Amino acid sequence: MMKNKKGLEMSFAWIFAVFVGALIIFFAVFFAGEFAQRKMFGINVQAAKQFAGLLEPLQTTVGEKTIMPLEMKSETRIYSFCNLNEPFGENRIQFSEKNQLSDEWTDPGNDIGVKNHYLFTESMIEEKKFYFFTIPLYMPFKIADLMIVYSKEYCFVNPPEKIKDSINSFQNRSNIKIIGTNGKCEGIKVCFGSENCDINVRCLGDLCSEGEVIKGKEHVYFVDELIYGAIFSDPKNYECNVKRIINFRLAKLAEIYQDKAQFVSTKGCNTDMVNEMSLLSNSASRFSKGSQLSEISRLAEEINEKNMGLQCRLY
Amino acid sequence: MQTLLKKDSKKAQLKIQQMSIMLIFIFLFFIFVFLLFSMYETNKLRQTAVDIEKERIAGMTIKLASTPEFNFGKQANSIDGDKVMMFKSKKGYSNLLGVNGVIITKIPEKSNPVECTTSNYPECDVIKIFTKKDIPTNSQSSIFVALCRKQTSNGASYDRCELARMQVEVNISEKLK
Repeated sequence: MMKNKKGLEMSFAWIFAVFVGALIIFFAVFFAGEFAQRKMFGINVQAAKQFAGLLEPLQTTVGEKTIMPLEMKSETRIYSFCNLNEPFGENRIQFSEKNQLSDEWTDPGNDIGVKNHYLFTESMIEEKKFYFFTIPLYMPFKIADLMIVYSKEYCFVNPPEKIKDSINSFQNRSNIKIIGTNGKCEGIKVCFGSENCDINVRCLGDLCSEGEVIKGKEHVYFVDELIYGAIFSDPKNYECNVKRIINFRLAKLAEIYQDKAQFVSTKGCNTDMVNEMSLLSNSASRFSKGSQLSEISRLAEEINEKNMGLQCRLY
Repeated sequence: MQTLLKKDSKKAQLKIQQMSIMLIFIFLFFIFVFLLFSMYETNKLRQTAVDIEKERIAGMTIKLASTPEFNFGKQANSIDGDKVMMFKSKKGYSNLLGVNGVIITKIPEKSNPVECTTSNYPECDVIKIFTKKDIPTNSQSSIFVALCRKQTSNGASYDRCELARMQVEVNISEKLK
């Protein structure tokens, strides 16, 4: 006589169906996860590419400054690197968006190269709203547009008039506040002349046309508009971009102007600037550290004075 | 009894075969759907990349005249012909600007335009930068610019500008590789 052991009897077909069903569900979940990850990766690459495309119209036309706040759909991280690959070096950017469901950062997408722009930013910034401003750099002719990208609030404590005017021209669209010594600040404090701030700027002269920016233990030299690059970008990124601008761009541009000076002299426009441009090109290509900036800037100033006095100007 | 068992086992075998075939078909169906979907997604991504690149080129063309290598005396949309003639032979700039070629043609366009060289400039019609082609064949965008140069007359110099069309050639498929 058979005893009833109350066991669950399952036919082979059922066991097989359950096993295969589980397998199908596992693969479906696995592929859905993989697909979502790839999709996010694609979105991050797309965002970086769009960002690079956005830099083109931000270039200045006739020397004006431009500012543009940029609001993303969700919180975003922008990674920025700089390299000195020949012939002109490049900035590389990567994007990573926060997954709104899991509240985790997605894997950054492929890095996109930006060769004809100079992005001065921290190596990683994260926020939903970013601020860009573009300032042309003249040395003595226009060499490049400095593109400053940041996300946090900055407070400039007692900045020189020239900087105050520049910031005021952005009309409260820049997330930069100008405050006095005891002014309230919730963001990054940038002190001009005094110390004990997050960023300290030591200016040489009233116009602050040269000096150094101190961030913790690191300090970088600046001249003219490079002060913004020094304040808003991390020192490594700044040094690399300055080398790209001076070593590569200025050296090559001075060479072009040297050739132009020779060329136009044969057409009745004698500028007598061949030697000056050759000197500027050589000094720029020998540039290796920030402290040499002031020397190049002075040379550029001398050239500019000479050019302004010419009846037939070179630039 | 034995024939009954044999019959049952044959029935079970048939069922297993049916299920296996069914599973294979389901599997193939999913693979097919997945392939179609990936093809659709890849094409969509490619199209997006092309659109972004086209937008970038359009933005760049407008601002190209303002880059230090092209610009004439801080004036908007003005190209320094003398400077361009000097830099058109410089290496590395095509890579920097991300273009395959730039063609500047004086307006009105002639049927047999003369290419500009340092020996015939400014008595010429077309300045070709990084390219030897007459008309850009790949994706292009163009704007009208003022092509300027220094001119001297009776010992006095002045700026002389002519209307020109600047065409920018970019090989998008090359860029997307």
